[in-house]
Amino acid sequence: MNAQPGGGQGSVAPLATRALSVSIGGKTICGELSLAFNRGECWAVLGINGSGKTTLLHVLAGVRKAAAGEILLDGAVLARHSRRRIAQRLALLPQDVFDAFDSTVLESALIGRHPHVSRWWQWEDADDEAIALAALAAVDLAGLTARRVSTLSGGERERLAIAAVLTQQPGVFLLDEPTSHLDIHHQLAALELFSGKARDEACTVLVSLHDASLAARFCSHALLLFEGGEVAAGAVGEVLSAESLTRLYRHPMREIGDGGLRLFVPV
Amino acid sequence: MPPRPTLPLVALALLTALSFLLAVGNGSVTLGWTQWWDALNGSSGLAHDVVWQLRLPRALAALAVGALLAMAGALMQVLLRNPLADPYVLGISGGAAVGALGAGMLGAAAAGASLGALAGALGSTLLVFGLAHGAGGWTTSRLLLTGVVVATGWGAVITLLLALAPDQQLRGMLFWLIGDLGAGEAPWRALIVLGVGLTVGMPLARELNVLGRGEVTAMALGVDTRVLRPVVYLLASLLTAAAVTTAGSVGFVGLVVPHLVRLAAGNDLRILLPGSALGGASLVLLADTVARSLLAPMQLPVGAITAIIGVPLFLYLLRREARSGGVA
Repeated sequence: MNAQPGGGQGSVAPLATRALSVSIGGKTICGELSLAFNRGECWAVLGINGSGKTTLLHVLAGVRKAAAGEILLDGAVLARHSRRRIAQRLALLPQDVFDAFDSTVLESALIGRHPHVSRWWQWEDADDEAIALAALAAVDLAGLTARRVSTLSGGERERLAIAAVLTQQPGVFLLDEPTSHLDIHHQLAALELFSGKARDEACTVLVSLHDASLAARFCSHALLLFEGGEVAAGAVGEVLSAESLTRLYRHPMREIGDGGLRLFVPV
Repeated sequence: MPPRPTLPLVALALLTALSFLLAVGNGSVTLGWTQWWDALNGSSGLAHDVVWQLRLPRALAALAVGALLAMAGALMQVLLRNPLADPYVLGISGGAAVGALGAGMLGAAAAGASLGALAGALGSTLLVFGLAHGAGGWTTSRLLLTGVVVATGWGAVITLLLALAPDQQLRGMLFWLIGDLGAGEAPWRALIVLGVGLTVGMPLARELNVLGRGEVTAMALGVDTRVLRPVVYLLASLLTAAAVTTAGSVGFVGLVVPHLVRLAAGNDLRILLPGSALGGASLVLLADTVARSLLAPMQLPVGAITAIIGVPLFLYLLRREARSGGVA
């Protein structure tokens, strides 16, 4: 087994679904979905509130049961891996991270090393700390390592959660609305960071977003969750259009081309 | 190397050693240097008996009970993600007391009473955690209300059992209700369970840190919460049961100690668990020494002293939490 992020295992997709059905409260989010999320791909997950973006990401991370079908991690059924093994390969950024007990920013980022540090020797070493510090620097928190988490702003906490996920060094990132608490500058920085993880380090990224323009700009692929359990998946160029988004958001959308950028705005 | 706050642990270990010496050195019989010499070298005599048969077992029992309760408190606080959780406040100690007392009245031997205490503690834990867990997890008010009501219920059951029991057991009532080390229970059972608790608990410390972040995050970070949670429920109940069979329901140790250790050393369970064990041992050793010396030769129950310290701190924490918007 290769522990390098995104490395090894030839052409097998790091994450794939086989006839996956997901539902919540009797509502179908997707039915019989068979998709491969390959190395180097950055997938935008789009849908209205309650369309099941969070539920789908949780099912893909194995923290929630699917109604039917299977998830494959590196070609093997995810449910047969140990939780620790899954966490070494796949990281989930939950939407709202809430700490019951306070800690320092560095301690909080170091939590991402949990699946990698030996169970019996409980402590992280200098390498782990270097990884955490690099992750904090990547999200612009290098100067705040000694601060208490309780004193951070909402956006700073979101970036800290991103740093913890980076510290985990997975091959697959599942990110649930990482931009929701961030200002424009940090939204772009965060998405640039993760699209770079896919492009340059051959990681697989799935990120739920509310802004289709950001999806078009940073993602290579998109997964649209329509009401009624219908799904559209494919390359951004094929899937994202004013028509598909109008149907997705149940509101007229218009596409504006500005240089190389595709912008989608509500009419 | 990431910072490891080991200094507080060293300080707490020294404090425990000092408290232990103080507990063995103090009492209604004052021993001079020559008597100490006799006690430590001789094999009989008053000094020897006082030290070896009264003070040393009682100090060991105090040490074990304090460490057990403080660890149980720290574990429950992580499970519930609430710094106000404590085996006494939540009625777990009361359940253990009823279990032990009930088994004893049915004629069970010491081992039966221990099993009864464990069953009572475990039953109470499941009852409180289960009832207080509604939509949206454990809210502080729901948790504390459930715990207080369950604790009051157990208190009533103990009173009822003792009203039915012969008069000479009235002293025992105090023991089970308030917590007292004067009954001379052997400390070995509690010490063994303490050893088990540290051996099982310490390797779980980092997973418990992760669990403090909530179920989804913990699972995503590789913690099998379906295994970890029951293990910790069982462990916290076992620690409480062993403490209660040795000293009755000594209150607030599991609340006061982890809180103070957090102030000094932060929330990392790798420090907090052993730190709470040491801090709890010191607190109960000191509280029992005070209980024995304050109105000597009269002896107060140790639980009265821990409650005098614990109640104001609990109210302060509750108020501070209410002001900061509360921990869900």
